[in-house]
Amino acid sequence: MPMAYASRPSGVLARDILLSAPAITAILAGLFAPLALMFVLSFLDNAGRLSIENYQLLLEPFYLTGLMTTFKVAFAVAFICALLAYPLSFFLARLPPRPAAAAFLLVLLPFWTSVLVRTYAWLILLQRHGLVNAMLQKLGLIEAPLRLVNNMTGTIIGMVHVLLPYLILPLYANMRAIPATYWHAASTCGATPARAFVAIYFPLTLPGFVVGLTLVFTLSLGFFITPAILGGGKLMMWANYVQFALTAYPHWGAACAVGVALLLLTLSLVAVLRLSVRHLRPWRARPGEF
Amino acid sequence: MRLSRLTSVVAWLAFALPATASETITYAGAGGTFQAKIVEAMIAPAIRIQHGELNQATYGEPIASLKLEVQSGRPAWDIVQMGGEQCASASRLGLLEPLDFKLVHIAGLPKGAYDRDWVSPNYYSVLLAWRSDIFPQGPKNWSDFWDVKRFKGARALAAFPQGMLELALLADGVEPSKLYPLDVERALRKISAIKDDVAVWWTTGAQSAQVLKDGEVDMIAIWGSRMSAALESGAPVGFTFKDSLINYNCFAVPKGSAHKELAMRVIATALTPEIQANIPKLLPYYGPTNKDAYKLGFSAEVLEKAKLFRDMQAQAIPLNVQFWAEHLEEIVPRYKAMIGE
Repeated sequence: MPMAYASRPSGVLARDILLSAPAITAILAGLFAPLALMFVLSFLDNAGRLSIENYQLLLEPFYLTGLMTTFKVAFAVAFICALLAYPLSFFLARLPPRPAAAAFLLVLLPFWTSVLVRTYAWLILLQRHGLVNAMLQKLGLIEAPLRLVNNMTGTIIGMVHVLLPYLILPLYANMRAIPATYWHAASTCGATPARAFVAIYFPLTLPGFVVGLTLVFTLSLGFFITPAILGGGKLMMWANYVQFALTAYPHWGAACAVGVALLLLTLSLVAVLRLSVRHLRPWRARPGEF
Repeated sequence: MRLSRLTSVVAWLAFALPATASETITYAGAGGTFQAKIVEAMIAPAIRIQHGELNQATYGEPIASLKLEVQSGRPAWDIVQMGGEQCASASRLGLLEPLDFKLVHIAGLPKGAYDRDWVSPNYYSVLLAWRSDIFPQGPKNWSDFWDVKRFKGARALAAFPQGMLELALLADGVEPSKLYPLDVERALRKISAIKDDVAVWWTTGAQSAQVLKDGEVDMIAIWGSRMSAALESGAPVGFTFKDSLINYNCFAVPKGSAHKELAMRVIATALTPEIQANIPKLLPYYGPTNKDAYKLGFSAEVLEKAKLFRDMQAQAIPLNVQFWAEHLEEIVPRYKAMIGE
């Protein structure tokens, strides 16, 4: 552990602050200042007076429906990511080092392509006369093309594709840290593999799982491009409401209120999730254990 | 001695040259082939005549981007092109420079084609188009578009209400002359009735052309220029002028533009008959607003194309720009709520 500043020679703290000053300034200027401005603007009405009318606007059914839709999609995406990522991470964690590295590369590959390119690729694949429908029809599995895109289905598929690595990575790290010998230990105590999984393995993976799910869920709340392109105009998520508010009202206040609402919602969600798993400390093997 | 002479000559040049350099006008439009054609037909020639330089920009959504530009105090755009009702809306929001009508001559323009802050160089249309490989007979009017039993297939409507509400009311049997003021409730109910068959609510002109070309939808309410782009690309497209809507395209100058005088001169040049005569050549389904353009005389080929627009104009119903300028803000959330339900 690095020594606390109190027990270091004087001037070290000043030096460290000076060295971090550019980064701190960038964060303050580029992140906190605009957020503060957005916060202030959200309390101003069209004439520049202080008012909460922008927040009252958010209570209209139009916006509440949008909130519901955003949560529905985020839950669906988190659920599907969980179903797909858990078995995949389990498999990846048990691979020997070389194949594991190669598999990891494949998991990370989507990160190296722009989100826009990936989203448009899904549009082309899932279209009425796109590759997926053409293949299914050729195989005789369907008669008429399925409506896979320009709706919530397509949006969820696109979002799962983008967010899956965010769940795989923490989960994989967590699973990797669990020694394989625990399975043996469980079986010597008389547990079937299924029981060992439920009672031992799964609870140990919960910290990584929850961290990953939180990441996926909160990122889904703020998605904009994917619903805009794959939603066919039918799906408006909260970020799309920010865009709508920018164009629909003569002042920025409404759009800022929408943005602040999203920020506060996300922060409270993260806080709730962190508090609820506080007792699950990240698992680490202690000296003497295998 | 010689060095100081050289420096004084260089200094003189440094001061003199900028005065003779030409001004750059930034033109902002909706992008795609439509912008390319408008620039080719009107803006580029007009800027050349005015000895300026052209710089182009595009926007995703004009009013929000215009607000951003104007609020910064130094808008990056000098000329912005939008739909007539968007210019009227922007004008009400105080985002546009009042035009100097000593510079911008409106002779030859019909009465609705200009206002204090904007002028219209050409018309554009919203019409019914379909895939002729799916519907060889083709729908005849908007009632057929709404007839999901006889014409089974995927449809596309715009994600914005202006133009779409009119089509719904026409399909519901309202007389064109009795359209305005629009019965918004009735129109929303009518659109809601076929919501399940609307596969795509298109947001950009390019998207509308793409979904028609790809066969993603079988019938669409689409802008004329985008329909002709799909047709030119070889897609099996049928269309009709029956019950089409006609609206003004508009040019305006954002408030606070640094080159507003030159911008207004460019707009004025774009309205002259000589430049307006380019429109039938390059944008056949759209027409020039300056009637004097037709007096110039066209070649037989261009006359054919000009006739296409005249045919359409005869059957088209004008969109009421003032109605939308007043009610757009209030109708858009209701329209989007209807789509999302």
